[in-house]
Amino acid sequence: MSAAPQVTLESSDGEKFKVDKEVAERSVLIKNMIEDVGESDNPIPLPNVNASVLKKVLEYCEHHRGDPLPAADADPSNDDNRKRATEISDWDQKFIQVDQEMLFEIILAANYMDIKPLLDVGCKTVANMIKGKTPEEIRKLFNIVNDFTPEEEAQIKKENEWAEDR
Amino acid sequence: MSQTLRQGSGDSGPDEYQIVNLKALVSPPSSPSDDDPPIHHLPTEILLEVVRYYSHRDARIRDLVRLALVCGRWSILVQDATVLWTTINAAEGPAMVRKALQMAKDASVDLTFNAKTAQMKRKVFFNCIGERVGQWRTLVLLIQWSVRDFILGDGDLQSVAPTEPGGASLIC
Repeated sequence: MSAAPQVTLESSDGEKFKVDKEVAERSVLIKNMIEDVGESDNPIPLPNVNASVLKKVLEYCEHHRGDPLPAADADPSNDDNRKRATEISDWDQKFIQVDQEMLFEIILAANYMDIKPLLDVGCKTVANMIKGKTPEEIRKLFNIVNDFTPEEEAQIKKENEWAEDR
Repeated sequence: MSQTLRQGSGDSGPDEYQIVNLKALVSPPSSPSDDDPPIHHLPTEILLEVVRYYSHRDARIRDLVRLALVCGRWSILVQDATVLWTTINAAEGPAMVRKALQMAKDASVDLTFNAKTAQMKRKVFFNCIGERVGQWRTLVLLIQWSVRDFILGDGDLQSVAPTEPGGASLIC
């Protein structure tokens, strides 16, 4: 019995991860690389992803290895598709419970590695974090500096009043 | 930050070296500095995705206005993305409907008027959207009166007595 084909991925900090090809191919970037280059024993370099982030991303890919690939013709601007897509599964929710820095690193890695469902989970999570919060609360949450000028600030307050006026 | 160079895998040729060398020449790095809050590391297109998920609710225009008040970057991001402002519901009231129409600029808009949830009179809603008729992509009307009583542009139909308890929906 032959073992499942495997590939080796190399993080930006030089750590190597040997995973099943099926798992690695959740990443469209890697899938295309393998298709272009063909089977090879050389590690696939991922210069934008460090080991701790890659480990997390691969954990996601491992869990979702059997999932059907997202339909290419699904129109993301279609309202029904979006509605269906706003929920996050229990496992994904637990998976994405990480500190902010890691959350944004995962999002960037998912974008770079072209793992659309993971990118969606990340974006939805950030969206949920800002839900129902005032601008000041959002600034606090993400450590964002209020960089408006006093004139803009005055205008903002005016607009804010109006936006809060239900 | 150390950059791991690809170990000669044969067909990664001069191109790759060129990219690496160019990166080395860029100083300071074009990536955001470590002092920035992590959320500023997200590129604009990803932040826009976040906003699209975030604003997928009833009070989306109000939420967008709020996001524009967070900081300069978010303000520009939200205001430049006309597509975010194109789903317009009378439930948000006249101020938000006008704001959305203004922000949507000349993009196609999807309009909803539901008599049960609308925070503005139908006449006012149609006055707002009337001059943008060329931009209507969809118009959903949920009204409590029979269709034959519904006359576009004929004053305030709130005075028409309800003849059907159900509802009528028009999609054009």
